[in-house]
Amino acid sequence: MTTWHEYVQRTGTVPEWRYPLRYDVINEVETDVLVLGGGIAGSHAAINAARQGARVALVEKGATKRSGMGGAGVDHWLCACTNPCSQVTPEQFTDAWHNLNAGWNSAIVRYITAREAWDTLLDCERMGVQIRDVNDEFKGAPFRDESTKLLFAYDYQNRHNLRVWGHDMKPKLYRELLRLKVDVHDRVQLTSLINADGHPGGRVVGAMGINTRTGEFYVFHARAVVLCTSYPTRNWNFNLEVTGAGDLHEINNSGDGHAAAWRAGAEFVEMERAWPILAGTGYVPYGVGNAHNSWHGTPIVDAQGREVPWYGISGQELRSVDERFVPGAGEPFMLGHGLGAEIPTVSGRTPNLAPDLPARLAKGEFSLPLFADLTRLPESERRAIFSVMVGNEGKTRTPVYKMLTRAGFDPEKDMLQVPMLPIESYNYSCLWMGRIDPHGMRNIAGGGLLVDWDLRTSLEGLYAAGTSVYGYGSHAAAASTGRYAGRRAAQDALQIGQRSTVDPALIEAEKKRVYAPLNQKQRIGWKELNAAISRVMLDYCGETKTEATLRAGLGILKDLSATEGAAVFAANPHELGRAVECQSVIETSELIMESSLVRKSSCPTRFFFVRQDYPEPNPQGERLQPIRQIDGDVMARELPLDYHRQAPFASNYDENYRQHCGLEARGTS
Amino acid sequence: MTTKAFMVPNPPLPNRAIEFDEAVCNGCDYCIEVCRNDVLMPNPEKTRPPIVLYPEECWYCGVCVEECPRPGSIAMHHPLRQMLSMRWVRKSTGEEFRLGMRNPPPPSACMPSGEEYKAIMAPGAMSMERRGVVKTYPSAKASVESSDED
Repeated sequence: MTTWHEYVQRTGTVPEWRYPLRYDVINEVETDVLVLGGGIAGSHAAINAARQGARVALVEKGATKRSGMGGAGVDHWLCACTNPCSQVTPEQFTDAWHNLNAGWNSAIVRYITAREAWDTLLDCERMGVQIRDVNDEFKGAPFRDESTKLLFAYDYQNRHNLRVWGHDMKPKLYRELLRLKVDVHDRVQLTSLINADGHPGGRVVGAMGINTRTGEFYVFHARAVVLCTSYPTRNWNFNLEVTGAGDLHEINNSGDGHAAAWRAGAEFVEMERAWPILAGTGYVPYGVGNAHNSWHGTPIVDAQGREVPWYGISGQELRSVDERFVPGAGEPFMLGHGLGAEIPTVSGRTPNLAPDLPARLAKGEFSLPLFADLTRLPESERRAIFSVMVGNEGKTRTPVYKMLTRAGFDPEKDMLQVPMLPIESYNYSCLWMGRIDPHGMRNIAGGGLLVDWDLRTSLEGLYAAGTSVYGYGSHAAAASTGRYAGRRAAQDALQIGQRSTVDPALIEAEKKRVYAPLNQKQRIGWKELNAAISRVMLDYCGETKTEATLRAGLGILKDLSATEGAAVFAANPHELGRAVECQSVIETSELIMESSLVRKSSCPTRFFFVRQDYPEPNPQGERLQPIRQIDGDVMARELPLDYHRQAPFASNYDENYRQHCGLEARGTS
Repeated sequence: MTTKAFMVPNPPLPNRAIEFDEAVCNGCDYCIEVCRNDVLMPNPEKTRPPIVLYPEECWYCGVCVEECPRPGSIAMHHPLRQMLSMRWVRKSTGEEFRLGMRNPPPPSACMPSGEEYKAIMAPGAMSMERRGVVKTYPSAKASVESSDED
């Protein structure tokens, strides 16, 4: 007996809710640093705030031991530019990434990551995570350094990306959180931030939330807050009934942090940028034949056993397997895979499958289905890809590596089939993702909270890290920015004297808002509401948009909020959490549409953004257009793409880093 | 065949996400504590496995399986439409396989890495199968079970 249906069939009863219902309980928690979100960024933020001597409370919607997008593991540590073998400097890496994205990406996140990713990884090693080939499994392999025993990923010549055995990263971080006596509140969902004196735009001094098992209410009072709640993923896509949450975007990423920060008056940027994805109709991530990320370099063959050629960074056909892992003569270093907002045509500046594969398939040069053939690789490479990387990457250890091998798949004997995709999707080696989506599904592509070199948002007291920040990237970026933001928030918090008090009327208003679904007749459930919001986004904020469609979409969302949205019901604390999340989905959808209204130009290739009424690029040159909201009024401004090097900041990365990193405060470097 | 029918909603889609083996699971509920989405709820009958209440919210991360103190208690199942696309071909024979197939082949002897490698290579170590590194996985059996099985 496993499912609810089986229970009902066997016992003839409906099981009563198993947790105590405490909708009338208010918990008040006082702390120096409040970390919102207990994923990779939030865990490192809390650990590092605690190391500064601050009292730290961590609020996590799920289970901190295993939640977050890195909760099930990590196989590669990108951007470890300061590891002893690296041939790439943090400056080189940051410039390369920024230029590759034509400036549409945050150099602040990249540089901080490039400076601290290796130190952060050493932290993880001290916590017990395996980051070196200590068992000498790969002695003599071309991707191993014999003295440090580090294994490299992607670019074996420049050695700034590392392979790691990170399947137990979160349990190790969790143990450290407990050791440092961080006050962890699992199953508590953020519903609002608290501004000083209740005025949006003012200093952030706390947050409110609900427990999704008991329904208890929480008020957190803090001197500084770090927001690590990832980005919203339920705006265009809501297909639980089709693939469950079986893609990379999990349903907890409903944008609660974004919505709360938007209401609190924080500034966001690039929220209008969204790219097509196969969410809802996609395949098990890394679980079908592909040649990307963890599977980089894997030979792809067609139904007749003909191998699809690989092409180098400069577009030349590669003759050997070895060439897939080193830049050619005169070519720059590879950036790697999984860095964040990647565009197929500039995907990490790595060798790739033939970019004209769709045309060659159409001509009959290759025939479907294709297969990933690990047997063609040298043994060390095959094991590094399958046993190290697929065996440790997030969401692959059990769902792919163990399930496949226990079902008999043998990488030494078998070929894993590539899914049957729309033919244009074969232009991208990440074949489980299938970039071309027949249903127009989209997702945020790099946008988030605008931060400065302290990783502080536009609001005093509010810091941000991980995928909630504009220009977010990999696991290593989440860890490094979390570490940095936690440190800075703690230093800020420890300078604040008396905390401000919170108006009881504010708490009452929030309770009224979040508990409303408990008092509704059972007509509209949270899933139906979320699916309706997604329909509005697909129709009015899809591939092409105009002033009229966006205004119409905003109007429909406003109407939806006041009618069906206001009537959404919840039967228990779990459904209550999901129903309140739908408010976040509505508000972040408004944020996306408002951002799309502000951008009166198009940039389809780099930015995935088309305004039919403004089909040309910005004649004044490309600019960031951050927006914020105060009491319902949306305010926009312009920033140069390299705002991180313009006044009030210094003109070079190193100086900005040294001025803001907060390491001098403790006499370390 | 069941003799009593109830008015219940259609099963959610995907149906189950994970499945417990009652012969192994002792109802310790640790999987409930590590699941990010509260897919699982405690069973009113203590010592019985949790109830899979919200399978459509499962992220398929496999953490419940990995953290389970009694290995073999929990089998993960990808949504059927995704499971069907996890297919492979044996190069030497041309045989075709898929995840969840009827009469699956034995587990492969794929050499793991990291601590599992160390355990296998340790002096006096037992074979991979006896150490539980390569285990018979309940999912294969479960995927062909008859629908009226209790």
